[in-house]
Amino acid sequence: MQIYLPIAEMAVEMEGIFFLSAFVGFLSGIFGVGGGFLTTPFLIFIGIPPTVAVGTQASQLVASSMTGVLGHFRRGNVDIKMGSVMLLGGILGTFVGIGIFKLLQYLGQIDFAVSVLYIVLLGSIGSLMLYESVSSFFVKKKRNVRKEFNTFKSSKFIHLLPYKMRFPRSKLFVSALVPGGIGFVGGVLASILGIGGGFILVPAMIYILGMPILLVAGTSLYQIIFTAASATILHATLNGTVDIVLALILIAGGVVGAQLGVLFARFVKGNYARVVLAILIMAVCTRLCIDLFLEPVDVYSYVVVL
Amino acid sequence: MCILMWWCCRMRKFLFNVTLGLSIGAAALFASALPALAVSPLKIDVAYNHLDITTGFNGGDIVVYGKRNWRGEIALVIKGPERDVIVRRKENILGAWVNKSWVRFKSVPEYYDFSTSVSDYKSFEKYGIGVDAISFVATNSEKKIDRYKDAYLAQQRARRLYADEPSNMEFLDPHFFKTRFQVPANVPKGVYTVTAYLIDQGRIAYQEEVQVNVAQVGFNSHVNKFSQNNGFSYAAVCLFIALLSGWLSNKVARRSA
Repeated sequence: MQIYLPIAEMAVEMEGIFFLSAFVGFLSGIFGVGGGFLTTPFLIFIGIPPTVAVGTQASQLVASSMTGVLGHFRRGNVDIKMGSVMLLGGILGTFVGIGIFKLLQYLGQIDFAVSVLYIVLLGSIGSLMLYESVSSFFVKKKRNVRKEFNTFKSSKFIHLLPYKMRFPRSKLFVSALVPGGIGFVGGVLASILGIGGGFILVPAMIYILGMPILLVAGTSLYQIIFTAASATILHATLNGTVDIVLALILIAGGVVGAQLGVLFARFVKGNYARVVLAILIMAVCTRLCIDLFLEPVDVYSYVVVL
Repeated sequence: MCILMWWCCRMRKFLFNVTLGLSIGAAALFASALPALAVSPLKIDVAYNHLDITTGFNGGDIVVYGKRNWRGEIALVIKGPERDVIVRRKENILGAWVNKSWVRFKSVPEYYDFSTSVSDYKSFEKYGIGVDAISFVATNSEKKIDRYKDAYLAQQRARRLYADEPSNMEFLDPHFFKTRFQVPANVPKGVYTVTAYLIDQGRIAYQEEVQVNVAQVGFNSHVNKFSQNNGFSYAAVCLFIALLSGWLSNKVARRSA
């Protein structure tokens, strides 16, 4: 069924977008990844303007993070103080991100910048994931992931930073600049790419901040809600690129897909599934590379100036 | 008197425009007494003066009817709103294809279609009728500006926003005609102008304009206006829906688990 998007001002195939977001939701149900990093490129592939894809994806992010964080709250796995410091940085990051976004738009380089950032992100994550999951077939090791304490020692430099704060839930005494800075990066990514950046935040929180692994996922989801909300508001007010109809289709698809994913997750062998996800990420990355490096059919493109 | 004047026009072809003007003036003067002269040489109207973009909008038709009361050939031109367009050219920089040089064209119609009563529509280009007759004025200097223009024309044609071939003009009788302009789903909104030209003796003898408003209606238009007039509240509604559906999704998941 064709449906006309009031903000994007174009007609799209509704089922296509629904199944796409359901598929991404399904993956996020299995793997617990946000999936924004797959939805946005897919939306761009099917012809949604990158500006609308990014702006709208930010609002979908609010919904999926909300679903995710409630479970973590119930289990008490959210460090609210740490998350709040991060989200302050995150909100600041969205302002900077939207400024960069508008500048790139003005220069006519937004498509290029979004492609390059996605290629770098997807390429590095995809290859790491592929390496890790393939090597897990050969090296059988029993890893205890659910540790209350992080044994990783954060670097000396981190301890020299000022504005130290106590985070009782995480049992950390660390400069507020560290979680704030991590949140800031997440905020910039959220407003330029329409992703929560969980795959950047989570490792950063573990290895730079030294947070207990148990608290990392919930805390990052908690702060992503606010960061994504801030990005949504900025995209809606400054760019006018949040399409509520598109958002509804994405949210609905994501909800349905995530439920199926959670049910399906029980029958999935972790490392096999991760190989599939890694291959999918690499495929999206390859497609973006082809678009960027292969001589385009038409080297000309145009924008209408309002 | 009316017949005399009519004959004058027919005989003295070189005075066509002057006498036409006179006869219209005279017609206006004696409109009540002499209704036969109150007609203009060419009269057009649209079946609907608006094209509604609804939620299920998947393209539509703009139907133009017209009657010619004079000899000569007819051309209809429909133009979308005119806006500035920036055409960018990608160049290979370190292997990657990146937008580099650009040309800005002033006031280019976002939609263009036309229809003629003659099959040799190319012959009307000299009157400024047809896609290839659209004027492109660049506001900056750049090498090979024509290539930017051609690329824009080709892309607009591919999106069916510019006509490849003129639309068919159907004559219901020798003077009464009808044209159906088909607009695609991605049609830009705005005020469209339909201009009818009467071409006689190698020049435009008469022209008339009708406007069509292409706009979102109903739910779409409310959403669009709301988002533009009150972006913050619009964002708040989006966020409320997102939070609510996220919460509901979690509820459902717990129940089923």
